Amino acid sequence: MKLNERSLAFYATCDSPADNSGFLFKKGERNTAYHRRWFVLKGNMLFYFEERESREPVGAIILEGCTVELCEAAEEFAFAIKFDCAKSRTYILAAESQASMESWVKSLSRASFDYLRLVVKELEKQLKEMQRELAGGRSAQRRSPVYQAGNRKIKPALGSDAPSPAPELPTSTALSGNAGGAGVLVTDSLVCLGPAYFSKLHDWYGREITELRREWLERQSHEVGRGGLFGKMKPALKPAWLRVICLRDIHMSLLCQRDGESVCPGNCLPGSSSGFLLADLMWEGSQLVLTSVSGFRYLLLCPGPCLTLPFLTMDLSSSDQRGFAQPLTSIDHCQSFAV
Amino acid sequence: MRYNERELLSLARQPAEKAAEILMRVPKKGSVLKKRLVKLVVNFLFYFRTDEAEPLGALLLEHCRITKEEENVFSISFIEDPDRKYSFECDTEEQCQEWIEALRRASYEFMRRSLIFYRNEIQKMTGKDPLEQYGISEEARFQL
Repeated sequence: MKLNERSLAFYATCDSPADNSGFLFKKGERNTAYHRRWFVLKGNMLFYFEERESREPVGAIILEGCTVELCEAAEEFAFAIKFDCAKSRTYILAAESQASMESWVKSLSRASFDYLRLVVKELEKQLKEMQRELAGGRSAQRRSPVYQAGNRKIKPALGSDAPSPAPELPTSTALSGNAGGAGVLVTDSLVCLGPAYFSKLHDWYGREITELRREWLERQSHEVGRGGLFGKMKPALKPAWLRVICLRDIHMSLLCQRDGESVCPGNCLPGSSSGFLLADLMWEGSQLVLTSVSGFRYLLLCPGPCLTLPFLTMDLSSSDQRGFAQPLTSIDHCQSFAV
Repeated sequence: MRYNERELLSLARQPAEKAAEILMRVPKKGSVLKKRLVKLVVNFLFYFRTDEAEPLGALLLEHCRITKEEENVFSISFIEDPDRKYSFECDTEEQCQEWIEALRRASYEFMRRSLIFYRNEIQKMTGKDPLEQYGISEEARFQL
């Protein structure tokens, strides 16, 4: 059976942090003498080198499914790596001290991918439950008679849509569509639309919006004399800014800011930051229709073609980046929501 | 490099996270697309000839890059040689996206980062370290 050995060797020697490393004595398979080797544990792979400075490992032990036991051997501080399958080889190793032996036994017995995955799934479940509880509390406080009266079918955005993993705050180079950087940085990380984390994202992306908005308002002030945009709008309408960021391949996260306040379609708590994961975004005439991953649809109205909304969409799967800069009308005064 | 092949073969027989018959091409000169049974088990991707019990090969999915190529196609390449690509042609675009998603999450590194992330989020919300119940809160590999 072929194995990508070159990549394995690179993985063993690259400067990614090792979960454990040190000298151990390894008992030979046929020749029962012990050989001192430099061991490096990364994930569920235990590599061993002839010398600490060796460029390539002599061998690798795949640890998935193993058990680690202390063993009665002539050698002091000895322990064994055993496997369940028939005729498999038991690796007998010996440390140079009690402390070293304990450290190795501990790290090797918890090295399996399966074990880690179990813990991660459990934590993920815990976090989702906590967020659901939090969202339940929030929607009880939701005010917005505009929304309640305006649309009987409004659903809370936060919490109803299962939050999905989110990336770490991307750098501006990642956002500018550097295919290599963006692809690796964003899609390999996790996103979670928890309230605290989301507000960080919001502030981070909001900086660019604030700047765009300032420029836009400046331009508008020159046009006011000519009965510009604000002149045509109803006094109740205020400009709002919509920011749509692609955080994963096909899912986009929606952030909405209005006059320094954050709002989200369906959840209009002034000053709060919230959002949901977008499955689809499209223009239907002058209306912007957003569909969340849970299937909720939100409709945002733009009174006219001259009103625009700022958003940046980035489809990471195709490294395609398109940017638009258009202000949007106030969400408060959107005329309808379809759910 | 020596390795415990018997254990790897045993791993290949375990229940898979994902398995399908997919057209695959290895990064060897003159190689063509061949139908293979592709099986994802923990952080290994095994590939079999469709009628054989023992895998032809295995790829350890660490420090690798999964890239969407043209329609229905994705590739796996490794960080030390990014031009050397294993190509996979799926039946549908949907299947392709599913595999990309699954493979991107299939590395130990991804699991570790997820754990650190969740741990941090839960700690922020509750003030308690969720890893304490597992007795692994002190481990260096889970520190931020």
